[in-house]
Amino acid sequence: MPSKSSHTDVPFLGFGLGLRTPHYSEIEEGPVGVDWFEAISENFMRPGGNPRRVLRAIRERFPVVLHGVSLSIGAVDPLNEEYLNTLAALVKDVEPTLVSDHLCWSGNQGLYAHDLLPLPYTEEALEHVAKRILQVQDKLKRRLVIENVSSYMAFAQSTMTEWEFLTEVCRKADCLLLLDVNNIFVSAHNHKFDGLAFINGVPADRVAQIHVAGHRKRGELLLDTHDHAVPEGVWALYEAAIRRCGPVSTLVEWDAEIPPLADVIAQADRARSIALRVHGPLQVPHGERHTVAPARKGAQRG
Amino acid sequence: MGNVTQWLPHAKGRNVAKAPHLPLAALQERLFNLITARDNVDETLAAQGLPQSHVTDHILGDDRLDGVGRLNIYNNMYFFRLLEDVLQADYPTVAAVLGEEGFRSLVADYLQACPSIKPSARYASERLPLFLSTWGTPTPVWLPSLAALEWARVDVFDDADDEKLTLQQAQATSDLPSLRLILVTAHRTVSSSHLIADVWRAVEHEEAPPEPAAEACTLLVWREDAMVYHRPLSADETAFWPKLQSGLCFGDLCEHLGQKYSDAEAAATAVQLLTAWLNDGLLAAR
Repeated sequence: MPSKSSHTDVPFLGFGLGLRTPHYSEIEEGPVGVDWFEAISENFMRPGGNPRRVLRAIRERFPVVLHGVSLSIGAVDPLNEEYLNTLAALVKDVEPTLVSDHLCWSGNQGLYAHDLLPLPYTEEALEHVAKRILQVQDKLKRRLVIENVSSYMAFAQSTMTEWEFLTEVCRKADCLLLLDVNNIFVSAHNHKFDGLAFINGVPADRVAQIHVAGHRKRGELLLDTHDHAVPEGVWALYEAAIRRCGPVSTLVEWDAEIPPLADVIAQADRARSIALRVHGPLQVPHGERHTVAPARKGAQRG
Repeated sequence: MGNVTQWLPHAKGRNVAKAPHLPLAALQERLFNLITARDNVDETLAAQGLPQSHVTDHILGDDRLDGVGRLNIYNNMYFFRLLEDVLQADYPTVAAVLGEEGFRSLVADYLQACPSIKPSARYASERLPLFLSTWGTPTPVWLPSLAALEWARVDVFDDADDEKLTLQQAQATSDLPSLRLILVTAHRTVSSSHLIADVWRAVEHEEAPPEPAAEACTLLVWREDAMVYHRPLSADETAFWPKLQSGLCFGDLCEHLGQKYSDAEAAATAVQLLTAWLNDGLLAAR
């Protein structure tokens, strides 16, 4: 059984990777030095076929979390019932440890932009999002994990910070947080706020998962590209995050210009080594690479 | 709640409390229309006779980039994500035939005519073959069927798996004429007036796409495990494929072939076809 975190009832899974097509066969064929995988929900929603077969095979060996990109929780359109039903069926089949999606909107009036568009941080948006998360949680019969997005625009009508908004969303909807440290780094640069203020501002006891990834500079702003190794600045924020939140299941995202599997695993190992330095040896409940230690440190509450 | 100006230094000097307020629904509608417009945000505003404040009243800018420029990032990403990650990935052969500029023009027109109507980007390109058949720009007459072939290859990839009927199971059948021939779910057929498979093969081998011969053909597309294949149906297959798709028995197959061949030839052809289908994993054990 997975060990339980002291600050949430969410298990600590260790250090994982996003499941990407170029790595399918290597992961299927033999031992892989990571503890868990995150699968993009939409890539596995059709009930048969090769993707679902691969996911089932991996699920037999590793914990899996499902990460969606199309829930559009912040859109004003009604939640897409067909999408929700399909997601619920996938969740039932895969039995993931966590189910997550983004704090964003993606469509309008029945059309989809396939992007993670930021919301204004207003009371109206807060009430709207919290209500919809409750709807989704009722449907899935589990708590949803909500991820902060990278953003390139902020709204004049916002009346609270992003981390205040996230905190209130969690409180109102009783949901969990996926803290994307790269997204914090990117948005902090683009909107000139302090990334540490973000990390110190979210409820540590709601942080169920962390993402790290790479970004690129375009002009004067940073873009969330996931196309190279995690930059040093993101690792520094990651260390700050786990110092505050305690050991949290950590995942490396690499979605474009995807390198050999070993290179992505090296990034997960970097996260592991930082966690080891911060918290000492951690007990990872599963995976083909166990790091067993007498006890885990307790969470550090901020 | 904190003061928004504490984390948005570039907003200092603005009276945030008096910022024009749009209800969430109106704000999203306005932004979505600008993000998904064919032209960039500046051009769209100008074309519609709208001032920059249509955006900058709501989206903050700073000394690095103003609000319109920031919204334009999303406008750019919308087009290029769908162009490169979805349509180029799903239709590499069509893209090779049209060339970079031609394909980009096609995608720009397609996204305006057929914006995505499903949450998953997987389906954002599914209407391209149909759109191509009505696209105003002159293109080769066989291009829509080439697009249909490429979409069929995408579509079967995550079709449901079936338990396959094996050669051993077929051989062990005591009543072969009654053996039900049921095609696996993961298959499609694509008809064309030209030998489009030649174009596909050339592009696959990184060769210049040829002008295909004008010869009617029906291509069968199917998947075995993680591999997707296509091949032309033979004349015999083409003749009774619709019946096979609706389900028939081996005896029906022999009878059908008997209309063209002698009994011995019909039986031999039927066995030959059955063996080929079994070897290709085209028949389901249901």
